[in-house]
Amino acid sequence: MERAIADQLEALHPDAFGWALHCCGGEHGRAEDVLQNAYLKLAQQRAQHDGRSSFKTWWFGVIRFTAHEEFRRLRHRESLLGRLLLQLSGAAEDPRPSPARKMELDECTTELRRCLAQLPARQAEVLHLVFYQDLTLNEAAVVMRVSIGSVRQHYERGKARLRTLLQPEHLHETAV
Amino acid sequence: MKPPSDDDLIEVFSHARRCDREEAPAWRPELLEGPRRRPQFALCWALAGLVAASVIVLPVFFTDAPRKEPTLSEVLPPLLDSPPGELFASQESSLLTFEAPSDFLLTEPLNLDFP
Repeated sequence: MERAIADQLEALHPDAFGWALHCCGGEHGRAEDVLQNAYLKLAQQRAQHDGRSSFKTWWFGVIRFTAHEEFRRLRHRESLLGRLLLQLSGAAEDPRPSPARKMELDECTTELRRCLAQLPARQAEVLHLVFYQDLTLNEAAVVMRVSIGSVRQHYERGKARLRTLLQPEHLHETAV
Repeated sequence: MKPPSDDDLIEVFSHARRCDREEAPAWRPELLEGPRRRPQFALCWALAGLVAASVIVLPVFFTDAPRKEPTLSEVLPPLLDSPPGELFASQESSLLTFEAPSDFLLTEPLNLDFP
């Protein structure tokens, strides 16, 4: 792999993990798997940057696609047949974080993640890409593979909904 | 640049970003040093097909190999395989030594007793 690409990937690694974490609904283990699979795609040249968009938006698109693949695989595992196969193979595992792990997570971050989970997926994605990853709406549209108009709509609606969800009284109501 | 009204959201997301960065796994360059390319599955399938075809075809080829054609004299039965002599000599000699079979093996009702 070219040195320049490796340097870019290293610089983007923490943010890429944050994006993978968002795509996996905050599940740390799954996010690591998704990121590793995305790196594997690059190493095996199954994904190549063609220069039509910036490297960051292209790389985030690869991670998003890989997370969707992983989600489909997980859904199969959770199906009846998948559960049966898992029981037979004895490879069943609990995807939920341990109580100790929950304690470690910052309360504010947990609340944000919980509120984002209540939004439609597209709204949550565009808010993460814009506010967390500091992408423009155009770049977010490239990552999400939707039109700029659609992204703008998701962005405005998502912001309004998220503010409502983050209000203290609303947090209290949902917590109770 | 974000409008000032979005500062609250920016602050919340920035805080989450800092937390996630602390939990992010360390960068490992070996992640990018995987195999350059998977073995060509099409090539593997072609090789497997070739082997299977050869397993089927080779025995047929060897069993249907051209054999040496036998000559006519080898195929036809010999016409005069014994020295010439008197005709039916063997049959005549057996007739002379013929003995009729006894009836002692016949069952009792079939034995007729004449007074």
